[in-house]
Parts: sequence; C-alpha cells; structure tokens
Amino acid sequence: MITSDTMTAGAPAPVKPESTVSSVSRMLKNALLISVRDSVLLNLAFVNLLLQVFYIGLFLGGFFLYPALMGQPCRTQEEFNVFYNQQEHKAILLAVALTIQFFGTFISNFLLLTLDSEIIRVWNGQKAEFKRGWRTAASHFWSLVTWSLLITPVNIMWVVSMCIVIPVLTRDKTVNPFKMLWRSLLLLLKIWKEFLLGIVGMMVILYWLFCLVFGSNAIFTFISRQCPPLIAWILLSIGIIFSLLALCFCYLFCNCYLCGQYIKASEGVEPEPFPEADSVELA
Amino acid sequence: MNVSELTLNFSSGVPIYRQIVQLLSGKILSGALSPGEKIPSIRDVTAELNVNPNTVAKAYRELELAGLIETRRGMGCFVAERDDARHALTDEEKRRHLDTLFASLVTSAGMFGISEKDVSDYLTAKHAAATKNNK
Repeated sequence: MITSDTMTAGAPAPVKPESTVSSVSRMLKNALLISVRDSVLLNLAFVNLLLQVFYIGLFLGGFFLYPALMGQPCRTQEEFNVFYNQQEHKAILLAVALTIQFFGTFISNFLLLTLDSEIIRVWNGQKAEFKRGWRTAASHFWSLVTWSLLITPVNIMWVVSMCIVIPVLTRDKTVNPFKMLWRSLLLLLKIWKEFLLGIVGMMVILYWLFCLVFGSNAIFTFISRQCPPLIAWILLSIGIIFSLLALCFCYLFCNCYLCGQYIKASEGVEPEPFPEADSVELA
Repeated sequence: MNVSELTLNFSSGVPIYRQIVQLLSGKILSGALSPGEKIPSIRDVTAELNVNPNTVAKAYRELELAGLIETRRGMGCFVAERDDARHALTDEEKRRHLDTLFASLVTSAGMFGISEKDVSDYLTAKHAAATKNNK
C-alpha cells in the first residue's frame, strides 16, 4: 500500500531548473551544427531565396508590365502615377497585385515547408532529401492554400508564417488557417522566453556574420580597384558568391533554430543534433 | 510490436514523449504487450514517426524508471521480464509510475480547461464512490 509517507520518503531530490539563457545558447549552437551538417539543406535554402527574389521581381515587374500590356508603357514616375490614378485601372491593379502576392506567398510557404520538414528530419538524425521534402509540402497543399489566402492581404504576416506557423504545419494537416494559427500560438506560449531570447541571440550572430561579409566585400572592392579588370571581375564574383552563401546560411540557420524550438515545444524534450538515432543512450 | 501501433497526435497539445509513455504503459499494463516482448528501437520509432531520438529516449527512460521496461545492452528494450511486474513493484517504482500517470492526467485535463483542483476533487469523489460500493 502506498502511503503519503512512503511517497514523500522516496521522492527524488528537486533538480535545479536550467536557466533560459544557457538553454537558448545551447540550442543556438546546435542549430549552427544542424545548418552545416547537410549540404541539401543549404541547397534548399538557396532555392528558397532564389524564388523569393523571383517573386519580388514578379511583384514589381507586374506593376510595369500591366500598363505596357494596356498599350500605355510607363517610362517615368509621372506616367506611372497618371496611369494608376485612372479609376478603371485601380481595381485591376489591386486584383493583379493580390493575385501575384497570393502566388508568391503560396510558393514561398511551399518551399519553406519543404525546407522546414527536412530540417526537422536532420534534427532527428536523418539525411535531408529534396524529393521527400517536396512530397511533404505537396501533401499539405490545401493547408498551404488556405493559409496563403489568409495572409496574402497582410504583408507582415510572412514573419508569423516563417517563425511559428510553417514549422507546425510540417506535422499537422489542418486546413483551417485559424486553427493553424491557434495551435501555433499555443505551442509558442510554451517556449516564449526561449523564442524571444533566441531571436536576440540570432540577431547578434547574424550581425557578426554580416560584418564579416561587408568587411570582406569592402576589402575585395578596395583591392579590385588596384587590379587589372579581369582580376577585379574575379574578385567581385567571389564577393558576390560569398555574400549569397552568407545570406543562404543566415536564412538556414534561423530556420534551424526555429524548427529546434518547435520540436522542443511539441515533443516536450530539447532536441540534440545526433549523427544517428542509435547513438542515444538510455542511461 | 510494430511502430505502426504507436499513433501519435501532433495537434493534441500533449507533449509527444508523454504520449509515447501513455501508449506504451497502457499496452504493458493492459497485457497487450507481454513480459519479455521487444519494444521498437529508438532508431525505428524516430524514423517511422519522425520524432527526435531524445524524445523517444526520455519516454523509454521514464518507462524504465517505472519498472515497466528494461534495457538489455546491445539488444534493445524489452517489457520487464518479471512475471509479476505490475504487482511486485517497489513503493518507489509505484510512486514514480503514479507520478507519470498523474502528470499526464493533469496535462490532458489542462487541455480541456480543467484545473488541477478539479482533477483532485474528481479523484476524491471517484475514490469515495468506489469505497462505498465495496462496503
């Protein structure tokens, strides 16, 4: 028979809870390890960024393309303003803008889900795969459509999308976007301290990384001015590739950290970057 | 036992490691898993259910502490061999198991907005009713 006495007598000594700072710094370090573990992740991040650039181009280009298609190409700001101040063009402009924005949002969410699902696989000790990531994202097609529809009119929502909703969607097939948001917020409540502190930590790391990139680019530019044109071009190309790589890495690192926090919130245990699942000891 | 028998709900809000503990302890205590039966390895659960190895390891550790499973080095995890595992647990093991069950009960109740006090009152009322029936 268990009595309150025997229960108290056998109770384990209370364990001092770990501070949020040390937990966040360990998670940031682990996210860095995950970011460099699998080259497929970097490629996925590159495709993500490339599509983002394409989307911005499409969005901006759409505004100039539409007057040209209507037979009134705009070459100056004044012509542009005059064209879009005409009442009949305003509604079409809005429709065109919203359509382009919806497709852009959908594609970026689709690719982000691809990336996040593979990041979670890597956290779980598996290898990342392009095809499997796309299959996962395709299996969430309608969830992505409804979520993209909801966030299309509000530009700033992409931050919410990237930070809390898409990682949750990797393992939740809800089609209702409000449910998605609610579940994501419930998970966020469990780790809000780590989440906020992590963002500060990420900003510090990204700041130093950008200082490194800008610094090296400044050096490249300085040297290239003193060199013959061919060497100058080579140096500039190296600078551009280096900057792109740094940008991809930053994007990947942020997503690795956010996915790590999502795993912690949903599974109740802090993940560690094991090379293989079998290397986990029970004792 | 197949990993496919473990069904996890990622949208329930109950931590995954606790869901694994609940599922396996339920199967062991109900007799669905017999003593000495092998339970899936951490690698299999991780790959099949797409969860972190640390999560599965924590769930297995809790089950081991509760005396429901045992680890055989190099062979994997098995349901505790003791035939009377459910009855011959020490007070410490019983207490740990109760702790696990109570924590999962409180977590599940919390999801429905039921407070810890309400859970406690419910258990007291149930206990009183059971005592009355026994008399």
